[in-house]
Amino acid sequence: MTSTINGHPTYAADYFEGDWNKSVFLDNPHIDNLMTALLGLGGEYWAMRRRLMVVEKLLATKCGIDPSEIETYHPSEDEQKSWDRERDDFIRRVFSALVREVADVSGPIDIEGAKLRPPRNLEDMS
Amino acid sequence: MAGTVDIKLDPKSLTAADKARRRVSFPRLDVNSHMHFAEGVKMWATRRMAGAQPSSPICETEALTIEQAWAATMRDPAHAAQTRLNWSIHDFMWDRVCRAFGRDADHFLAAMEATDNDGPGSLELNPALAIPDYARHEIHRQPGGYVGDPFGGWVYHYALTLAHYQGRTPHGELQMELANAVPKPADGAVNRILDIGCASGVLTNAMKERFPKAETWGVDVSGPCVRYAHHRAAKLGLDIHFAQRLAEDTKFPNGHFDIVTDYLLFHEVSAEAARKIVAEMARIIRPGGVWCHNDAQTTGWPSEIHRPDTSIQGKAMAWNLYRHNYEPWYEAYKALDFPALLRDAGFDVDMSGPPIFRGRPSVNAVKR
Repeated sequence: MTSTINGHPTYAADYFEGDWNKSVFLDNPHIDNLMTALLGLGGEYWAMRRRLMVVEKLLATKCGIDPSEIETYHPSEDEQKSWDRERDDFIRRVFSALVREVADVSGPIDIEGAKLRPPRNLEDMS
Repeated sequence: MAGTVDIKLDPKSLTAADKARRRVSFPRLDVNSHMHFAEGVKMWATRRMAGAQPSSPICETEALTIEQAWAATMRDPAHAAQTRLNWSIHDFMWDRVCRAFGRDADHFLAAMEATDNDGPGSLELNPALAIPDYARHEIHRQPGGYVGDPFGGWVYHYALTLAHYQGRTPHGELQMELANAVPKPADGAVNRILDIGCASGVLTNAMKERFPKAETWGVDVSGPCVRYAHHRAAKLGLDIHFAQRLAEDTKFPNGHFDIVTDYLLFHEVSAEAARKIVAEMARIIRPGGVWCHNDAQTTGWPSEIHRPDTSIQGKAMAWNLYRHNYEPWYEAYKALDFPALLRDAGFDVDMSGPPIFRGRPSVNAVKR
């Protein structure tokens, strides 16, 4: 019997959860976390830059839209709700590093103590 | 042999159409941009590391364990910061790819379902397979590892291609180079090929492209990996059989294969499993058949490039890969006398030449 997601079989199996995401390399775990969050922000910033470059190119070449219309745009209520969801997802992606659980992982991998987990589900991937 | 067709692959001359057919890309711009960013940071970090020297001298000694060597190098703040950067961007890469598949899970699962029972080629999934514990770990810090994520094969292929390999193999060029370098048996007959531990099947695909008439198999313990491998091969029009089986128990008849390849499999399995897999390869490769093995350094090789690096930097890197790239069996593999294992299992081992691929230790073993 295989696990399912929304009725789709996944063929994924139980796996041992590693402690690789608990390591600390700098003097204080919060400095580690800040660096991770900073990288996350960089990724979000670059994604936005690329999207803007695409959008501005398409607007200029295919739609003839005046840039001032972009500056004065106001979302509808439904759009606002959608943007709120996007914002919350953005904050989770970038800043979850700041509340990461840490542990002393300086010794060998604890194979015997590894915790067996069920296959990853959609909540694990969000 | 008259029936063997051997096509030299030319990764440097792919046409625009070839590239478009092989290119991997997410259906969402932001995810592609995240991968573009991760690739850029990895390239920058790699270049920066290439010229980096510890800010304070470290006393080199053979007596240091790999853990002690790691601790010594981590006393250098610059090295520690670099390490944090490397692992943070690595985790960013996995995280954003996993989120992308989770966000559009129905789309990607439906895509695989559409090819599960479609050709060319075939797919054998075995949800009842008793997966050994050694294969259930989150190797390379990949969330869920190979077996625990429904998109494990897809995640692995896309993350490595779009970010980790730093632009070196956007269309499978590295695997084409490796496939080109695999030697044929002395009699030239190549009727059946196996890529053992095939993961997402990129090398398997390249072997099929080089030997289009050969019956080609890819075997892996991971259901999500072989499922994606089949999906990808079918989309590329390649007639390959992918099966979820154990490398140490492949179910193939004795003397079945003319060529077997493995690429970076053995350092991800326990030493006990490695011994069993070597015995299994000896059973299923025909006399005169070739096993082209590519993996990390182990003991027992006459050439220094095949043996583990014992400098302090080499030892520190060994701990970094074992502990922080989360490869639990790396050190156990390196401690094996791999040439002796091969010889004892019935192979003649050619160790005369240089590594055939990217400087990585490789060996051509011919079944006696």
